[in-house]
Amino acid sequence: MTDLVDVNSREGLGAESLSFGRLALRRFVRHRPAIVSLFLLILMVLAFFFAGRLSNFAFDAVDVTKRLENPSREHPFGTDEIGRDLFVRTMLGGQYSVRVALQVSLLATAIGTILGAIAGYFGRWVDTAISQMINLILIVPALIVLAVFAQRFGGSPVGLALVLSGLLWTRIARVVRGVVMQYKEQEFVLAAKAVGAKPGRIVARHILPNVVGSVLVEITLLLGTAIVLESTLSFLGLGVQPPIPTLGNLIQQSKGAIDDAPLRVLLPGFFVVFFVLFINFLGDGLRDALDPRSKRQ
Amino acid sequence: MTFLLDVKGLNVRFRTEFGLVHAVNEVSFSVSKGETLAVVGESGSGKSVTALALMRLLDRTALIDGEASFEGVNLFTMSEKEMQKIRGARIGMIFQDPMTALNPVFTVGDQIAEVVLIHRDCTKQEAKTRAIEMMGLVGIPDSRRRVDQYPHEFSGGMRQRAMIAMAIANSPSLLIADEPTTALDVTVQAQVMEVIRSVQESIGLTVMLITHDLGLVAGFADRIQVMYAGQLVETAERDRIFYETRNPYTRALLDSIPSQLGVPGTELKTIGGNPPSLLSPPPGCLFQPRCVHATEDCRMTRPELKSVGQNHLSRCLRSSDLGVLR
Amino acid sequence: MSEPILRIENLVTKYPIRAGLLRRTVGHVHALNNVSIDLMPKETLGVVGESGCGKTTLGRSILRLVEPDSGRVMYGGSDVLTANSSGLRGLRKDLQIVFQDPYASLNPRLPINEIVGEPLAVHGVTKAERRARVGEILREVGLLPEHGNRYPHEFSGGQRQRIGIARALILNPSVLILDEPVSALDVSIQAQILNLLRRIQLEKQISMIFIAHDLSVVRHVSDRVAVMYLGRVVEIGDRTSLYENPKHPYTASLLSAVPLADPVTERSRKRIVLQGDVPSPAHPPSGCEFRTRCPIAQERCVTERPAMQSMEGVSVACHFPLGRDESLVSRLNR
Repeated sequence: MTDLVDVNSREGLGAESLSFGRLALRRFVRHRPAIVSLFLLILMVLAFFFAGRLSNFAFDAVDVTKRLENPSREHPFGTDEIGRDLFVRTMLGGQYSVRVALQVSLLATAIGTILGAIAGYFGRWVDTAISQMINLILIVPALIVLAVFAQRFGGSPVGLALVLSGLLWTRIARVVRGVVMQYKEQEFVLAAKAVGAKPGRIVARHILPNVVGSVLVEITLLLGTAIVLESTLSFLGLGVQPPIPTLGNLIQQSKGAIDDAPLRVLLPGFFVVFFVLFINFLGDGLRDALDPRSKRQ
Repeated sequence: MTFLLDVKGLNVRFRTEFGLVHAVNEVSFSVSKGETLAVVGESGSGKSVTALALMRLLDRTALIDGEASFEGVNLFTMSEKEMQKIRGARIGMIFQDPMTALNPVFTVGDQIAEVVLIHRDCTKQEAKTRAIEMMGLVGIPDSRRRVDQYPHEFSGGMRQRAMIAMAIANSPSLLIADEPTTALDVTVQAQVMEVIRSVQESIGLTVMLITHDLGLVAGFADRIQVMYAGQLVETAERDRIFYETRNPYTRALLDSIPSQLGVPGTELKTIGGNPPSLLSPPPGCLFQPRCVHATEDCRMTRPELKSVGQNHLSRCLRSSDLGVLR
Repeated sequence: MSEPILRIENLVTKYPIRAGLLRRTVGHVHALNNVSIDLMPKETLGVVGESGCGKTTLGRSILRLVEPDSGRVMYGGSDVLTANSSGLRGLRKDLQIVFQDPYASLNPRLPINEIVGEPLAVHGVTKAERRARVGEILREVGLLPEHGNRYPHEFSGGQRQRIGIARALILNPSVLILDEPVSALDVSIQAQILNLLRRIQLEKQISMIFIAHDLSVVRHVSDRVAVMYLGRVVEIGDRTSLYENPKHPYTASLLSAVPLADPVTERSRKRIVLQGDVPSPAHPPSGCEFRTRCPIAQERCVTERPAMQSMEGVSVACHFPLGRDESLVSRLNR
């Protein structure tokens, strides 16, 4: 039969067969900026959580005899106005900032995925209600609302995480809604329906697995946004309150020293910038790897 | 005879992470003034890439070499600035999808007038007058009113007419039509082909029609060239391609169309298998694995394009012993 | 003459047009308007028409992939449209569909075994038996059982369409709906799929509804052909009479617009080029839907919708149908 011959002589059907997930992983591993970023991110987070223990100083140990010192062997990042060790404070600040960002992305993803999937799958008035709520949240000037809520609830890291999640879930919800709506109309979903599959099977096997990729990408972007917003609010004095350090309030406390001791401002700033940069590279890598239309293998 | 367009040794390769993809290989052809040349092939044959290469519209991953002399200048060696003066002025181009080729935020008239203003020293009013004139020429009814409408107010067929109006607004000498009717319904396709034909007659246009549809070509082209796997495999005057076919691929392509003239319900002749990978083309004839006439020799030797009759070229080692294929 | 295997009666499917903030329904598009078609056992019925004529909606309405608003689809003594969900699952064993886009119709995340075996899984067949049946059906459509572990992206368009056909055949349906099964494929691959479908029909004696826009393809595969325009069937009859002596001016002009791959015939043809585009199905013309583009429309066509009438073995909805051996060109020259 000619039909069999034609399949055997086919190009592209190599010896090994790869699932979508394994292909995506392979594409991701080949995405050099993403892999380097992932490595550096892990390094950075490990430092935030453990490097502070290497120092002999507590984050709130005041030593007025050693105010505003420059970096030294003893105090690698120097000290602040009341002689606290800035290395320990920066690491701990990074830790709090990352914690807030992780909490925000977990919470926002949970809310966003559920509401987005409901809106996308059921459509009609449910969709209208959820979409209008999202629009409402998106049109009010975020910074002002955040400022008001942050002042009321944002003094503690967990409070700030709640406030940021209340704003940022909308992004996840919009992405999930879009992807669900798109896949709901796909012919392979119709095909599953046509062979008699029940809605539960359709959602679990055919729709949700396709949502995961987009949500992962969105989560990375969300992490970046959360860290920037946290820093912004804390810098404005509206976020996490001292003595608990975050990258944002560290910059705020040292901003007067920009001329004399620029490192004191630049170091926490450096961590914010590079955290966001690496996160974005990671997101890029994930997006390329998870794109089902991607021709790269 | 002088040629309007004379392409010699065109190669287009794409850099990909797996290596070079040889999309167009050593393609040489020429187009005479006033004629309609059809470039026919299946997807991946390199027909559209050839057109985009001539317009220099390929992105940076494409490596182009060869020579394309058009009205006495080489399209591949001129600067981007000089090329911009050719695109839309001396060579017009229309694409497959009229839905995405028009900008939804400007009126159709503005977009046609824009093309005129880029290339001519004239006032906005003159450009708009020209736009109305062109819209009339391509058969858009009530052009004076429709010139101020937006693309969404146009149907698919009307949009493709607007695209043609835009392509010919500066009286180019060559029109490249890349699958101009593939996205359209058959009755609308008939209208659009009529428009191209009438425009061609009224302004003396040379047309290069790129298509996969042999039916469209049968009624429209003067000369046909068939492409397969990035190579030109046969070229001749229209009737010769249909009735004195010399290349086995052309023959197989013609046979696989369920013709309205054929016997319904019978087994169609098919081309087994799929086109070769352009990443690492096999040695020998590229069509050989799918060819019913292939011999041991075809597996080893890459055939050249050889003359098999008056203005008739075919790329096949066996063209002399196979003769006319039916 | 035997009883039809599938009987479509007065099928109506409307899509709501929504607008405004609250997405209120402001009107309806009649995608299908009173469509009645009988499908005979073992025949292939071609359905042709231009975009927006409702042919895809027809295929999907029969299987309730979109919910029709009224009418009946009778199969084996029961109405598909009123079946409850378990009854519908049973009916869907017998009525299957192949989709147009071989890229969109296969879930990219599942291996071929699972895609083709899904109908069996849904209907409770054990895993071991599924394996065996999937291997068997892959062979029947010209693939190899070993291909079952691979993923859709590893296959070409033609091969994917074979996979889609395998999925539709695995439950041994008696009716197969093919929605533009070859329009996304290159001609040489298209011919392979058409031959495959022909062989399957000869071997399995399935009844097929072949939906397509390409009149040459439909002529090649069909025993009978229905021509649709703006949600209605305007002409239906056996292939030979419909193609050789079309009665409806729309059928005639559609046929006349199809370019033929034969220069000599092309040169001698008198082509009727229809004016304008298909009107929006949201605002269909009064009277006969085709009258705005019809070259022989008259006063009566504006006011009165023509009913289906039988003549010379075909059914046609036209006040002024073309007679025996009369062509549209000769009518126009009269």
